[in-house]
Amino acid sequence: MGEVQFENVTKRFGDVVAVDDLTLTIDDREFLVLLGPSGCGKSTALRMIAGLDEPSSGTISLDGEIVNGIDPRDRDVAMVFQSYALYPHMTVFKNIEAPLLGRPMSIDGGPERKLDRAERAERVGEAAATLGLEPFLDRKPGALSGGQRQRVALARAIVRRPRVFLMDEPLSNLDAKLRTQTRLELVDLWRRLQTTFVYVTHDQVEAMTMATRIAIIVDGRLQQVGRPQDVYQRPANLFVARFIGSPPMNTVDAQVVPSEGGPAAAVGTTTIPLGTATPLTAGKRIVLGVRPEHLHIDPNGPGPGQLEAVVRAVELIGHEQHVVCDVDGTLLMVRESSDAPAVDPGATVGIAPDPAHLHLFDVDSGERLG
Amino acid sequence: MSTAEAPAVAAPALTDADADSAAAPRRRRSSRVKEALFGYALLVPAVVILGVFAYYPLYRLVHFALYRPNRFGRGEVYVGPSNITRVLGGDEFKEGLWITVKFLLYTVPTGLVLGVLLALAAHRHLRGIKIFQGIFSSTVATSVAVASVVFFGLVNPKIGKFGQVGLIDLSKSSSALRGVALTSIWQNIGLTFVIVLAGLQAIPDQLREAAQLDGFGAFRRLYKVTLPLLAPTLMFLLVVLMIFAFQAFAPIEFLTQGGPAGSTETLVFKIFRRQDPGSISEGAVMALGLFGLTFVVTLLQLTILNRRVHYGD
Repeated sequence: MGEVQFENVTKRFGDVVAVDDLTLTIDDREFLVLLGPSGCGKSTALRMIAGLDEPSSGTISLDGEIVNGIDPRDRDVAMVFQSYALYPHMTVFKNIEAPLLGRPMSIDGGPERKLDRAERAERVGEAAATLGLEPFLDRKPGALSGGQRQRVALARAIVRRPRVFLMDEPLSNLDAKLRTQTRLELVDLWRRLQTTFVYVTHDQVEAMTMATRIAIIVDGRLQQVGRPQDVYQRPANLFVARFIGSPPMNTVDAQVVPSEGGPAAAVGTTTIPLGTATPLTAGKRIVLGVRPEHLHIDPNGPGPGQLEAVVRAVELIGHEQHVVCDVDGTLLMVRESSDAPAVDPGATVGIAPDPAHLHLFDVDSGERLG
Repeated sequence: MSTAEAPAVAAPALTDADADSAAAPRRRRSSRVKEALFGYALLVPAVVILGVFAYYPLYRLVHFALYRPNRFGRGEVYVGPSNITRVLGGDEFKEGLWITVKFLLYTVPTGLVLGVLLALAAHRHLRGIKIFQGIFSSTVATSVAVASVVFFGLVNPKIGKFGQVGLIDLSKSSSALRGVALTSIWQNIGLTFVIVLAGLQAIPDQLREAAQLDGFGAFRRLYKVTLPLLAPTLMFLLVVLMIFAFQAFAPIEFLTQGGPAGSTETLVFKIFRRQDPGSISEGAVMALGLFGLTFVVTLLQLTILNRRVHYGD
């Protein structure tokens, strides 16, 4: 089992509130990603699960048992650090073996005891095989590449078969290509181990590709928890909307206007149908969000219901193109397939948002409407 | 700089690179010579200072060891290497050597262990810990004379608070060396503390945390992680403290002047005593002996221990 529960957890460092009233349940065998900009408190939350930091208030439970004040080594969790924190003076074998030396553990459901040398060697061998580290067991970390060190850190974490794995930005020291590859391997590892993973990152791509659920934290506050598609398709507030997605969601100020064919909003002088069932009072100021792929360029525009825009730049990515358009001084990013008719910078075009994919937010609170 | 100037600056560099003529290698050679000359010029101050203050005295020392002046300091007589073997094999040298070794055994292990313990205690993220760190390291800034006077006040047999403590009684030849050693330990502990603390701070916190999660208790963390990573620092301190012990002079001069009954006459003190023309030759030989000893011990430490010490990664 490996269920982690935060209940009203707050952590202060002096006057700084790192984690603010966090309540979150991480299910057994889940791959939960704590996502947020740097300094948002996600690492502190992770360290509190490990017991490296203690909550100022609130409780943390592992499998229903409150672990506040319990020594890290008695929590049965393993952590992979951003710096890997390998013991530089020990060989890879010794590094992986280290967690087995400490305390007695239950073997195959039997009574707790210390492992003997042969059992330890067997387990180290297993962990090393899982991560393809057999050729390096006699080397010291200094003689390994970044990717290999990262594997050693993972092997050290899995060798004890803990109930929860904690990972603090484990991929951030790898180059882009290796990161993509390791992402896949981590998910594969998670499937094989059938254990809870709690993973901290500021990289939304890592979060979207690996997580079963993403918890987005900003300024110590939990903004939204949900499956990757949920947070992408129905962001709970403006912050999540702008944080998730690359290029990010476009947002423009708008005002609800009375209209015959359902609710509509005025952006400048253009009226856009909203395609929402949420009752909205006319005259209410809102923020309208729309992802770049839900905007379409009409080279012959602007037609009715289309925003008039001047093309500022066209970025060809290969499989798609990003068109930066200026609508009354607000820049909107449009994502078009690269087969779409070419538009030139300086051209005046129409932009049509897809009414089914409009996101409405309260202008004051930033919360999602409907 | 204006934009107009930029091409003018870049132009010669371009033609320089393009010039694939016979002149290019010659110019390269002459610039290499110039560079070498400049390098040697930079070495001159170091060579001069070492020459005047280290190598010339060493040369004079060898000279004194081989020639004996008469009692008025004139008319040197060549006495040859036999003088060296006679002094180094003599009782005085052996006695001084034994006292020096005892002094080293009193000061180095205790000083090192105490310094490490203090540094471990002070290596905490606590409010006000800087004050303690300041206090512990203050002996670095204390002169030997002041330290000795302070300890003279403490361990003096007549007026000292601890003057009657048998273990460090300066008035007895059986314990005086320990009293002097105590002063020396106190004097050097600030240095040990500061250097070990710096060594501890160089060990990443995450390593300690990883060890915590790996189930290492405080004691196992210390000897499995902290001490091995501190080994280069401890190695350095061991060499330095041993050299300090070999060369200890000031606390002896201040506290006992070598007494009682020569029981605190270390080699350095014996050498210091031999300054008059009649004994300077003997002193010079002893100094050479001490030099050789220090040299060999340091070399041994560096070669033997280096193999077992882990340096970084």
